[in-house]
Amino acid sequence: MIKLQEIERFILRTGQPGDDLVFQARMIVDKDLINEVSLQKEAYALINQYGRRKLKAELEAVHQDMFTQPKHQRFRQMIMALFK
Amino acid sequence: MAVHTTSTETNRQLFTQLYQSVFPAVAKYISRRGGSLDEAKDVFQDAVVIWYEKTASAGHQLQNDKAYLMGIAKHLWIKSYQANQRYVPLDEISQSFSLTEITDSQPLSTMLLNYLETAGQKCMDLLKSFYYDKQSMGEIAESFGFSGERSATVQKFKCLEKVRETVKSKSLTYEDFVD
Repeated sequence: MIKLQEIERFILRTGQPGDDLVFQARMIVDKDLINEVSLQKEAYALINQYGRRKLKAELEAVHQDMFTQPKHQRFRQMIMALFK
Repeated sequence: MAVHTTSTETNRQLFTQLYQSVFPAVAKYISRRGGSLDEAKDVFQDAVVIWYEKTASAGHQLQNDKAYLMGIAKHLWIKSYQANQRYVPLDEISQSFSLTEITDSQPLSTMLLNYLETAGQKCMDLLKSFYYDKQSMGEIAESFGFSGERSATVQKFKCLEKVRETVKSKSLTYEDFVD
């Protein structure tokens, strides 16, 4: 966990500036650390992709509501009129 | 899961408000330029995604951001229409990710994601709350039912390790992901 926390502080820049310099120096001599950083960046990218996928699904559900629920009929008519 | 329900409900209210207050203007803008309702929907939803990602850490200030959202929508339409003569929606993976560029091809990352979604949705929801929705560890601890920030943080890193391990094992064959 400590290793992951250290890498996270470096990637997300949440550590002290001095810590970053030390970390960068360690990366120069430790190729495994470079790979670990790269792996963690890929993990963050996947998490962001997951977040965006969920967000789009939530938006789609609201869209369906707005265009099918009787309570939004006026809204629907107003929008449809724009595309006639 | 409590947090998921809470944040999903909050987002549903937020997005319903956005549909009522901003979508008509976006639809009018797109229709006047010859676009379709489907294109208006894609432009609007992409604009909301960009707005959500950019304002997550600051909290979503709806009142102040309606004009900003409309600006994003116009920009998306102009940019995409000039390039393609039609609107091409944003990918799940986009250049707007600030953390990293993805080196893998999209199909592989999509397969990894599908696998993670099935194998560990609770973990992915926890990670999403922190890294994507930018919730604090205090909020996450409370809504996921952890005893405190410390145990939520420990779990967060366990989940992150799980994702890292999945990425590491990406040499797995396609069958491993579709089984």
